[in-house]
Amino acid sequence: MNHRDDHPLDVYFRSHLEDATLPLPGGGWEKLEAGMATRPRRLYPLLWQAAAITALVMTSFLAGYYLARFETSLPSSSMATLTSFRKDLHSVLSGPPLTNFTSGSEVYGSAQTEASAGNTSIEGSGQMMAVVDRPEKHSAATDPSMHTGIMKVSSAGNEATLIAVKMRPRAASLIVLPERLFLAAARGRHSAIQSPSYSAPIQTSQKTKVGGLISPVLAASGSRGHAEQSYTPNILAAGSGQEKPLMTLSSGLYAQVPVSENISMKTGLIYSRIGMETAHSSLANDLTLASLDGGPYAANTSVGQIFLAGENLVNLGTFATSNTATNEGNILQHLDYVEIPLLLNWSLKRKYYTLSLEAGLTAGKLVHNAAYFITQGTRFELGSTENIRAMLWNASAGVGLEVPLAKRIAIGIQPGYRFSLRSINPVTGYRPHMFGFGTGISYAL
Amino acid sequence: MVFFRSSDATISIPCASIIRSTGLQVPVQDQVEEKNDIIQGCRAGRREDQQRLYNWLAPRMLAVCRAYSKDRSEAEDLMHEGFMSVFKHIGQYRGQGSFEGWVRKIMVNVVLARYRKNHWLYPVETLPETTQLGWQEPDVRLEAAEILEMISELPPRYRMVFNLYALEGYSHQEIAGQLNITEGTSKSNLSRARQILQARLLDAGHSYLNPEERHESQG
Repeated sequence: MNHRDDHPLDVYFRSHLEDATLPLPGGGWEKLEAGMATRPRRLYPLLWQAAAITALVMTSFLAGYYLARFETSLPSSSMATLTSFRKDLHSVLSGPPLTNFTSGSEVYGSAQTEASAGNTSIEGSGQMMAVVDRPEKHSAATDPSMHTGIMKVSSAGNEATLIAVKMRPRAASLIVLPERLFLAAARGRHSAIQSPSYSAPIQTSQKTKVGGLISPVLAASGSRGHAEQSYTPNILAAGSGQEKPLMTLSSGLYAQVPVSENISMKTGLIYSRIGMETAHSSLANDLTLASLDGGPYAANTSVGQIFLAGENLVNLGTFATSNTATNEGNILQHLDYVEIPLLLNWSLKRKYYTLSLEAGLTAGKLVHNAAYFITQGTRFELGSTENIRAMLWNASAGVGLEVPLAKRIAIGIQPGYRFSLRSINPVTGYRPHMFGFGTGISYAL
Repeated sequence: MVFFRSSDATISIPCASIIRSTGLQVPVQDQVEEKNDIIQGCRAGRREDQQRLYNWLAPRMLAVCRAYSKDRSEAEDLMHEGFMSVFKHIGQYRGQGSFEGWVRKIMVNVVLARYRKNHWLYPVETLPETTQLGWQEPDVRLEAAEILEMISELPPRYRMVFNLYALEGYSHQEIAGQLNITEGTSKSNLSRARQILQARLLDAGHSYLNPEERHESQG
């Protein structure tokens, strides 16, 4: 004991309870032992979440990388748009048969290209020159040795330079990739070219977009709220009370302005909600016991304290008193925000889809704060959650997949993660983080 | 309280209570060694030693938990959760101070965690801190179980504040921090709890126990 005001009543109780014991329940140890055997292992939640986010981001990057690789290495036979081009290239290539090449031989060719993929097409003609450097490898027509050369193709408004051309007998094709890439190759009897790398000045194909989205959001508790206290599932099952985040919806409009070929800025106006549901076994019962003495009363959750007084207290207390069987109910807390995001978006555009990564900050203004008690299908107003900050600051990151529906219209999905940069309630330290799964439609201006 | 030094740790054990709760009638040094064996066994995760620890301390800890609970069933739940926590964290006990005190502290922490999770609806009281209470000891001698029953009938937060202050020795500042309330609220809750308990002590002619519980507590 380390305190001071030793009231005689305290001393009386303390002295009577100091060595108090109670008889143990029958089978107590066996019950405890069974509980230990079945108790689930609790993962450290932040570690778990960090791993999930890392996996999400890495998966997105890897998916983008491999999809890009997949397209550049796609067999030409699968590209329907190349068929006519292959014929053109084949017809204009000239030079000695491969078997007659000697070291240092130069092979010249001209190409007329007419190929397209995605939103980009290249039409034009160019010259190709290749220098044979390993003729001995060409003794067999199937030898895949490579040779290098340079080819230039000019197209309407753009000039594309093909560098490090590699020649391979019997296999070549030209693939024009969306936006900025093209890869020359052809299948030919005499010679062939294939390019593993290239560069081309391009015009950005990104356009300013506007769109709308709607997203289910699941907010979880932060790192400092009471929700971090340990709690065993078997006790929850007994109905002692449990907090769980509410699945809510956020929706809004956004605009996306390109700043370079792949990067754009995104902002908008989003209406979102953070919700918490607290199952409570005896709130109404407590009120009955309280005999409606006018209050005020309060309930605590991780999100914050709710005061209950006046008409709200009378309504709920009257209901509780006249429905004695009712002692089960849930507390709902709603915090609604109008948010303005400022996000940096990186996108990888392909013919049939666009992949994107985006991250940034969101500022939110609290516009509605309400708490309810729901029992037997009836909803009672409790008031509002105390001490909630007026502003919410979130950092967010997400991935997106967009599929065109028409020339200017696309539909997309966007799973993402947001976390609050500071607690939304300085008293409880509640700091939510949210998982969302946005779906929306965009229109390219 | 008597202090003993063993080879690897200094533990303080309230001898009378050990003998009472375990039925051990062995020399004091042997008791110390046995307790150390139990603690070491629990650190190693041996189930039989965990059971011995349970048999040793559970009667005391059940009384501790009962003071914070509305009924016996909740007290047993809390105690079980507390013992699971003890077994999980026993490696953190460094032999500094009373082992029983360490276990008791864990039990109280479990109680606090449960209390915060349950979010009781409680009255926001503004009783003056200076409320003076008269004190009159009851005429009859009350059993511990009866006193625990009295405490358990307090409203949940009064019960928490009273127990933490009067039995555990927390300050109002500490209680306020633990229960997420103000110091003033803690003081007024304590004052109100004392008023209620005083009234019940004066009404001590009324039994707070049913005959079966009274028999158990006397047994």
